[in-house]
Amino acid sequence: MPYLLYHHFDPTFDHQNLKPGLAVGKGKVDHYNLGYVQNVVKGQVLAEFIPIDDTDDPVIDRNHIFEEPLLPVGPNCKVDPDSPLRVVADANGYVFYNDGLITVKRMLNVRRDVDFHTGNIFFVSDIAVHGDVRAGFEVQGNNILVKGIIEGATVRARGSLAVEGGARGSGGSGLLDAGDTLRVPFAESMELRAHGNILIEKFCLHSLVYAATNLVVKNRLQGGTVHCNGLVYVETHLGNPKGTPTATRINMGYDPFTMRKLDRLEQHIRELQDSLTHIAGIAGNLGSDSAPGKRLDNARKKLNRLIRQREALWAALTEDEARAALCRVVVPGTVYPGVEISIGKAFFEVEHEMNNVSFSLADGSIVATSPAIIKKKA
Amino acid sequence: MAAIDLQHHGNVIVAVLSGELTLANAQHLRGELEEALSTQGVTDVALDLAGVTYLDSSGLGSLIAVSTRARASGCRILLYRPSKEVHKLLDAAQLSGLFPLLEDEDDLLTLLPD
Repeated sequence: MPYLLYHHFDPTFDHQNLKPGLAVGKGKVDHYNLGYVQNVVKGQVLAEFIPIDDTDDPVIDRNHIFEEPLLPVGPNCKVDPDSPLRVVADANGYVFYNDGLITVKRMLNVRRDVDFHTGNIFFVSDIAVHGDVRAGFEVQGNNILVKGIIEGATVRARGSLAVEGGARGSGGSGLLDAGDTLRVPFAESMELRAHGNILIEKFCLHSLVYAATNLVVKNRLQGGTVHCNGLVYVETHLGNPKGTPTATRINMGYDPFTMRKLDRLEQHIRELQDSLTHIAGIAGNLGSDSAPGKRLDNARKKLNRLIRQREALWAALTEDEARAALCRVVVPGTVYPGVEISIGKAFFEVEHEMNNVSFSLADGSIVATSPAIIKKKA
Repeated sequence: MAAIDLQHHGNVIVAVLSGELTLANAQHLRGELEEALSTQGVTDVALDLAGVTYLDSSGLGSLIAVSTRARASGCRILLYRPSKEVHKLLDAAQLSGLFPLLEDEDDLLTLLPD
């Protein structure tokens, strides 16, 4: 009896020959999302043999009809232990045919820039981008290595993120987000987020930084805002040596990601309050059963919910205050006037140039001590 | 067998799934969700997983395929009220963080239009 090899993926998919998709409902071609890979997860059924009677059915691709059910099992695939006629993925990755075998690759190597030729890349496992990530594009994966420069693009790694070239934002866009460690030679006008440490080998300029543990900048940290809940170490220069056209702010002692959530919530509340004023104007003296009246009622309920959420977040932040005592800003180099440091509820503004100092909390105030690093005696 | 009930809230669709989500119905579910994604003006599809009793790798694979397709349309797929089992499966598959999560009704209502 002949068998049809039924695929649960597109066996003809060719990432070298991607075609733009249509942005649904927007009536335009989307060059940003081309579907660069076919993601699969470990255990997912990729193909199966189905016995068939009619091999002349025009719907069936004759290339997939076989006399013997010999599964084309390639690397990182296996025969389903529960069904000998099925191939399942044995790893997370992307699926394709290689030398006639169904193959899953765990590592996605993008051997070029991420741009209009590749579209955005969304992958379930690790990615290495051998070129740049161009403005407006997005890469998302597990651990990610980018060998080139990130220019106003978004890169989100669920694990670690390493950028060898550097990162520069443009027009308010540019985000590096890591579930673990983030490492980059330089960052300028970017948003950086890491649930682990952030290591910047050269400079960090005018960026918004959220580091759940430590931030290390080997050369200069200037402009922007840092939210960090451990150690901020700036080797050479902290702040702007030419005065204070743009302040450099460091906020410590609270979980940076709760702070971020709170900022977003505050913004949402402000927007909803503005919207409420507008809706109330429309609703006027109409009853609560009218459409504008119902909308007003819903908006009020939503505002109350958001305010409750905000209170809960503030409560969570307050519980975290003991953490503030462990926070430090350490600068073996120079700190310039205009730098603002908050640790918990305490605030310190640098008014005069300081050298080789460490800032920490003592009796509810921020104190500066020198030297920055106290070497233990042998 | 999974059932799907689509609830439209302006630019957001809440897809209430129930039952088992496995290879047997992954294709069907994928088709339904992709059709929902093609609705004019939709920006977010929240998959309500509170009623899903079982999800296997093929079911998860279909959600990832839909998510990939959604991104190609400028939309997001969010998981709403995923059970502990779904969280465990995502963790085991090293896919935690792949989908934006809505843990409770407050999260969902924040997403819905005013």
